[in-house]
Amino acid sequence: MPWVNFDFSDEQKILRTSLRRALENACPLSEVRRIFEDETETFSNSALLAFRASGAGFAPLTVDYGGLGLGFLELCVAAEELGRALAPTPVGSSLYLAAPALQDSKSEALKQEILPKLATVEVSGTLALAESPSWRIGDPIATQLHNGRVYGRKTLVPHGSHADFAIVLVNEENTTDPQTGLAYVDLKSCFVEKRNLSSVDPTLPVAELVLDGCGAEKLEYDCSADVALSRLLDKSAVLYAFEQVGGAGRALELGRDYAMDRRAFGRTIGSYQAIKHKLADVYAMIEIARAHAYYGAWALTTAAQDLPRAAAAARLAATNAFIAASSVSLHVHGGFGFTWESDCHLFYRRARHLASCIGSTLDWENRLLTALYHEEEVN
Amino acid sequence: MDFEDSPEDARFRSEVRSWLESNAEPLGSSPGTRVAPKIDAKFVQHARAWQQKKAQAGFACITWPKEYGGAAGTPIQDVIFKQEESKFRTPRGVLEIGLGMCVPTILVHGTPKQKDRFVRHAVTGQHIWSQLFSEPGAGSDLAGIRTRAVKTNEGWLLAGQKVWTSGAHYSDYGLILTRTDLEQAKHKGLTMFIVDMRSKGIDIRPIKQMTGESDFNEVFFEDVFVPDENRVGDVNDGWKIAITTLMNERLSVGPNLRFLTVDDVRDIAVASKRLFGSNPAGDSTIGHRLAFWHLNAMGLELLSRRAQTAIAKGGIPGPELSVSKLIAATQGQEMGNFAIDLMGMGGILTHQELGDDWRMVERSWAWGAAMRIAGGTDEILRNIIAERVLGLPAEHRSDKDVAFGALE
Ligand SMILES: Cc1cc2nc3c(=O)[nH]c(=O)nc-3n(C[C@H](O)[C@H](O)[C@H](O)COP(=O)(O)OP(=O)(O)OC[C@H]3O[C@@H](n4cnc5c(N)ncnc54)[C@H](O)[C@@H]3O)c2cc1C
Repeated sequence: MPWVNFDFSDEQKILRTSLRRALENACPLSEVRRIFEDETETFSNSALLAFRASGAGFAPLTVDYGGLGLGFLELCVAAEELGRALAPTPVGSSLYLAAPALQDSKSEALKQEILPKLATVEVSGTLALAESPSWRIGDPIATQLHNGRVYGRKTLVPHGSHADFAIVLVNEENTTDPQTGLAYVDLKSCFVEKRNLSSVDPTLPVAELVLDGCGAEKLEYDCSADVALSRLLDKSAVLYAFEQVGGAGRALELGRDYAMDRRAFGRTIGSYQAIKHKLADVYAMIEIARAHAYYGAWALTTAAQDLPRAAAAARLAATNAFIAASSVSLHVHGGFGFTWESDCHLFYRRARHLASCIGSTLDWENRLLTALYHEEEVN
Repeated sequence: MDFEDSPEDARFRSEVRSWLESNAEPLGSSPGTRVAPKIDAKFVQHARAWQQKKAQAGFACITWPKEYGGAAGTPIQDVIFKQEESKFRTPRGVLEIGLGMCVPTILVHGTPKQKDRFVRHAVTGQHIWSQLFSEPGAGSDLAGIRTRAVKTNEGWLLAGQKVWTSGAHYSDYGLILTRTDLEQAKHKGLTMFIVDMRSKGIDIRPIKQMTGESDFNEVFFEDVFVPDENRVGDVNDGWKIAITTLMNERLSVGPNLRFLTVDDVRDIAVASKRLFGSNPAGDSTIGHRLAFWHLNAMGLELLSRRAQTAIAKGGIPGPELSVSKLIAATQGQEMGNFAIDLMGMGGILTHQELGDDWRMVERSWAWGAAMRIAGGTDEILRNIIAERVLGLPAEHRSDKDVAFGALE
């Protein structure tokens, strides 16, 4: 591992502070709850506006597309803040999933047209992979790309009911051997049957899409679509890890604050070692996760060879930290933690959603081990 | 040591089985059928009717005396009936607090008149009970309750607030812990009462749970009259009575948490194509966990048999029973999370998309967390084990020998 300056720059820290402040106003937990309880709301506009104002979406975009060419660090900083706020926005589906898929492709015209608008999420995108709830990366794909049109049913599509476009994992009928590919589909210019799915965290809605002959443009890469997909997942894993670290940190604060306030047996419960140690253990998990996320961010930006390992490590550590933080926080709240009224379940649900959304720890443990030991086996 | 039924017990078991077969529907093998439906008025009615049916057949409260509607049977018969009943689809979750906790307390500490008035009606399902112990400021530290009971010429007037009262909204009676003397130290000024839940001055407000349902309530008392004949035990001796209830709670809750079983998780691993073939041996990721969970699940089952043996010999199970809920609730939550992980990306969905069996996964995930809190939190159970079983010293506390009224 090379020596790295293992911290964010002053500018990035200013971005963090100002976005945090903006989200405190634009997206307090009452706003998250409003989106949660109102079935007609799909995302928080005020949170999205706060993100847009931060300009973080332009950072990874190169100047050719109107971006700043700064790499991924700014977006990572923003992701942590969005995670802290449990912000219900399509930033994840648009910028952690759809944007890297487009950006890495060679489809110039599309990139010129879409990427600048995607950076502000004026245009929102998504990634459509799964065809059944138990579908996993590497499983067969039934959705067909045929003569520039796509036919098939996709499920678990994040923000699928209102995204403007989707990057769709397809099967290309290539006379002899079918090849997987990624295709851009404009969801607004053709009729798509959409069904909202009931999910554990309704603040990040998912949908099923039936694509019946929608116009599609195949994305070309300098590698196979499988490899492109794998790279894209590594990128999104790092970005989601920042959201998870942010959420975990906030859940820990919630638990700590309650433990300072609540009394039992004549003492604040935070003075009992059983409680202190629980919270301290969560802190340790978060710090490990944060370190992995930072390293992942660096690997992302410099396209380091180590990205697959670093991304899997960031995802696993951050998933563990957020699951632990949200359940410890709930537990420390006692009976109140199990109520609808308390905010604990918003974190418990978000932690669960993020732990599953791009594949669970079982999948990422395999990716980590493969990244670590596959070369050895080959050699 | 013997795990086989004696000939008489075997006879009893087959009698029970054939009665159940002709009166109840067997439980399906899928996990969804083991999740109780939402408790609404119709379900409560169903629970009452099933209890009455058991009472008529002599299978309700088997160990309780005949004069109060019990069957004067042996503890082993009680165990056998419960084992067999658990294989059938019967309405659960409504009468347990009364029959497992409140009424057994009355059987120990109640007056003959109270036993006459209340026990039989509970056995037949006519009276549903709730436990009015916890308050906003006193859960783990139960002796810190503030609901007052003030003596009048005719009886007592209760004022204050209880919280997390499961089933208060459909209960007929409640066992309520109150403070009767502010001059005494916190454990010493408490008195237990039986309260008619339809008394004037009681206001019951549902609390919405994390799951979206409302099984528990806030209960407000505004000068609620309780006659002195409804006092359980002596004035200012309520802590002792409460301990009896809590011991019974530990006895009845731990083994009855219906969460995912090891087999369920194995089945989900197969269905989600993480496991090929039905035998997880050789798959270290899944097999390791299943083996560990089996040790706990089967261990708790055996431990509860040991407790039953103690009861059968006339003893009372001690604080070692605290192990049961401590392990079962945490394991439920962990298995829930693991089952969701098995589903991969699809784990973000609910049972509305994934089918009825998924309700058991959600239940383990959400209620696992809840049951680590209800009926004595993990930390309180560990303190009980550490202090009462292992004899370790208690943590320092400043509130013990001070008059409750003088505490800030
Ligand atoms: C689903 C459900 C149903 C319930 N039903 C009923 C009912 O029917 N009737 C009823 O009376 N009550 C009921 N309860 C209440 C339950 O008994 C209390 O929630 C529980 O005892 C914890 O009390 P609390 O909520 O006040 O939390 P607190 O006591 O405030 O605990 C908060 C946190 O502090 C920790 N803590 C407290 N003291 C210590 C210590 N000394 N050392 C270390 N850690 C400590 C706890 O473990 C917990 O993590 C129910 C609760 C739930 C969740």
